[in-house]
Amino acid sequence: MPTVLLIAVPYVAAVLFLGGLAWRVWTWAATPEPFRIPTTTGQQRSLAGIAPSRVESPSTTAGVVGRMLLEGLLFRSLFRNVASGPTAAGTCPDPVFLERKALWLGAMAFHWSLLVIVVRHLGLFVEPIPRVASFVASVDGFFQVGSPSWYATDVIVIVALGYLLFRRVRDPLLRYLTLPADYLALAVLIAVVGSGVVLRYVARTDLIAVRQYTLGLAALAPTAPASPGAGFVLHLLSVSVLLAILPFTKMVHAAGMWLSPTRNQANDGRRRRHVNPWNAPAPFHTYEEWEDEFREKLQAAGLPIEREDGRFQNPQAGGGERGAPPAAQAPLT
Amino acid sequence: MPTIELNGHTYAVDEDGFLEDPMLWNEQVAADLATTEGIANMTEDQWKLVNYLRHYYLEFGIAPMVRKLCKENGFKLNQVYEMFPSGPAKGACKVAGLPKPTGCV
Amino acid sequence: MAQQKPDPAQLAAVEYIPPRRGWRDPRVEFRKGTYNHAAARRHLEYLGLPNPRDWQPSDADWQLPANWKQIILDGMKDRLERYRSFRLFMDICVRCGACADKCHFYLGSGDPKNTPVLRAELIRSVYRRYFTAAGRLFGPLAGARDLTEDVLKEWFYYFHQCTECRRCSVFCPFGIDTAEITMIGRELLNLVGCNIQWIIEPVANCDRVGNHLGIQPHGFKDSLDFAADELEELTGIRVEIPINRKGAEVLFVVPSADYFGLPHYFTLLGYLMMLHEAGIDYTFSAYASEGGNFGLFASHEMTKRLNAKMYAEAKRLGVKWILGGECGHMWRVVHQYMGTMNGPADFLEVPVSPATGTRFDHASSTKMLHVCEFTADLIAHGKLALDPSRNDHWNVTFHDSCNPARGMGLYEEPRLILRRVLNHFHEMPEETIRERTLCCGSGAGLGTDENFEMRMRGGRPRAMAVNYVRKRHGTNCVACICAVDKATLPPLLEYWVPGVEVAGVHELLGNALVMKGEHPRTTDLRGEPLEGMGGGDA
Repeated sequence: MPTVLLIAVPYVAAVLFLGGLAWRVWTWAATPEPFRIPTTTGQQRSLAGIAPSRVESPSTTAGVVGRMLLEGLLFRSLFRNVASGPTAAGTCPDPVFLERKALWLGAMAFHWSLLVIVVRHLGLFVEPIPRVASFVASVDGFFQVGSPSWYATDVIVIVALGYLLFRRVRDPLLRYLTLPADYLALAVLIAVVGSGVVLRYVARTDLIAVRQYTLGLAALAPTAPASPGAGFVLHLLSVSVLLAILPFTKMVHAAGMWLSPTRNQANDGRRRRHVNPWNAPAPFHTYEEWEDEFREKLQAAGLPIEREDGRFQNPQAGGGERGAPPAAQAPLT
Repeated sequence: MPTIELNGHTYAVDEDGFLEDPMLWNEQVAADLATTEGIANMTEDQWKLVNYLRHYYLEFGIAPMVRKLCKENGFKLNQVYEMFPSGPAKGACKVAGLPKPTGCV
Repeated sequence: MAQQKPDPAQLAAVEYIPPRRGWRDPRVEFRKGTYNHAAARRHLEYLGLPNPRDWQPSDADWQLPANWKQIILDGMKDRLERYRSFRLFMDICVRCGACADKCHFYLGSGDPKNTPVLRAELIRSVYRRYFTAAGRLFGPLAGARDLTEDVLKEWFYYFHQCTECRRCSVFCPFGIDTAEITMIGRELLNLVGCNIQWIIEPVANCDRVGNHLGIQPHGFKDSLDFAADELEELTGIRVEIPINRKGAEVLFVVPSADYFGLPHYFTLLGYLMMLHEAGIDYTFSAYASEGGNFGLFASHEMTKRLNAKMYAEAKRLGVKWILGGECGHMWRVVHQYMGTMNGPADFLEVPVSPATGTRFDHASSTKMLHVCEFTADLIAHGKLALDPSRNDHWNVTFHDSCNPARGMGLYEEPRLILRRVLNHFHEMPEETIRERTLCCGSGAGLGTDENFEMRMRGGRPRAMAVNYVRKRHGTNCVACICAVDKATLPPLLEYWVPGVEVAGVHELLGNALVMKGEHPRTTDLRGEPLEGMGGGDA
């Protein structure tokens, strides 16, 4: 691989990653939230004698923060995954996933392992090695199995990715709805993890040289390593591809989930007025138009009316925004 | 717009088989429409309900409350269902030439 | 036509095997029993909606406008720019499948396009094709699809097989709400005149006459007078039912089915008794005589247009605040849209219960209260004398209606009432109540006769949960707080679980409510003799 690529590829990927992510988040953030539409998964705050569910149906900002942290850190909603009905009685179909908490476990295992691995890698980009990176690495390598000793997360992430791929292939419904792009995301992740594992445990690379190179990248003064080796090039390439496509694929959920209105809005729709920036005028059928049509019937039924004698002069007077009276329709009997 | 031919008469009806123009109703129409509800010969009780509905409709432009229909004619709801298997709103109203009530009903 | 009902055993035999042809193939078969009739030309003309014409979904030619594709794409662009929910939900789904078996229509039909994830993909695939670089560049590989007439028909079919119940959004790790997607999908269909009669006719009636059924003011009065007469027979007490009365403290708005259909009507009797007993100074309005809002099932604009009447009428009558009846989607609108759309309600006051003095701060902006909140407060303050034994012929379970549940968080208020008015109450299994409640299968404008098969399929999971408590506890009554439920649960339960009735919470309250000066009750509100009391946990 030409030296210039070793320098150009990671920078292009970084630019696409940061630029793409910023663009996506900006696009979402710039799009108005016209209505207050939280999905309420707990009791609202209403009567004094009824305990509100502060996190599942948050009425305060603190509650919302709690709800989002539970979602982001512990995948609260995924954890809800339940059977479709009272299967014990054999009365309700239970068609799809035998896995109930397995998906949650797989997702947690994958995402948290990935986070730990990223933190471990911080040492490659920061001088001196950040304490958090060495601490995480020491905890991760606690079991000291094998030589070099295996990181627990390296094992977990492989198993988790394998499971996520396996369930897509095994379950007929999931296989049916999976897109090529979904397999692409898994393939890239497997390439990243696989090449990294090979690099550490099989075809070991010169870590000193690699760190010199990555520190250079981070300091914007890059020098390519003299003989990087195929394993390292593969790892670098796959990581670059992952970063480059992340903002443009479903993997962007990592950023998007924090903006989800059904989760990050407080359930205070009646307590505080939510303002819609584009609240479009909607003309409606006014009381005056209505009384004009039904006056005789109202009078005959002895119901109170505004104008005992004749029509409203100006049908718009009541504040309705309709331009013209409704199109002619067959008279009501 | 669909039409339906019953006993040699042709009627303009909506997709549910309700009379398109409720004003074009008479007893012959009722007898014809009743066949679509599986009623070959209308009984006296069935006529009583249909005429009541018709009368109410001409005054108020809609069918009466189901409860009122039952009570004022001295029938229980299940009796109305026995007379008109699709029920008061969908069966009896159709025979009486009323439009089909829509909404949360 | 007397309905030809499919055999329950046949509908219960659902195979969850995806078809051979991939989901990207949009062709659907409009099979009788699984779709709804098209809206009549006259209603579209009256409402000023686009493309009025005589057509049916089963027609080969839908008579779309020549530039329909541009209209849809422009409509999508416009909504992508106005709704963060829509844009975000187009972008972040990972197709993990956690939502798939949460949809009652998927459980009941086995059709993979009734999984929330694929329902959304129907529109997401078009989004990718026309609005994302990846979709433009890589087409099918990136999950993109061309917008064709078949795709539009597929949208029509599947966006009218979603009841906007939001159950999937509870389980989605990112809170993706299919209701948002279905609502936008239906809005787009409305732009080219593809809407259904069961939604558009109530909308037209509501706009012009004041309620979905088209009950005119003199008919409204006739119905309420009948209710007052019947209450007098039942209790010996004559209640006042004011209509359009200026200067009342409270405007009371209920779904129109409450003063038309059964068993809704018994709930109306319950409200009237409670309001009388609590001594509330209130009025109905014949102009704003509809609590429900079928506009919600057509477009946001129509929601606003119909909802506007409540505040306009409250202002004209000079009331202080608004009380709303038992209705599902009405409360989604009131709780999550009304203040935004038609507020600020600065001409009203924060609701205060005249009977208990409770100030309902949670409604301090919208100034509208749910009747269950109001009654629960009365009961909590001991303001109502209750004799639960008058409900002993009922063995009750509670069906959380989707919208008050997942769009409001109204879980304990109705239960507080039920526990005080009943001796026999049993919950359905946990995974089928509260935020995980299962839909009746007929909401969002789908409760039609012609859609019978799909309704029975979609409602089956709910019915099975009822069956569970029926077998275990002898349940014979499902209480609920939604007019659609009251209309559509009875045929659903008759189909799957015969022998279970449906009642509103306030009907059961009315049975138990001991009114001051009432004569001894001999029947319940339905006119059934009370001698048979004490049947208990049969």
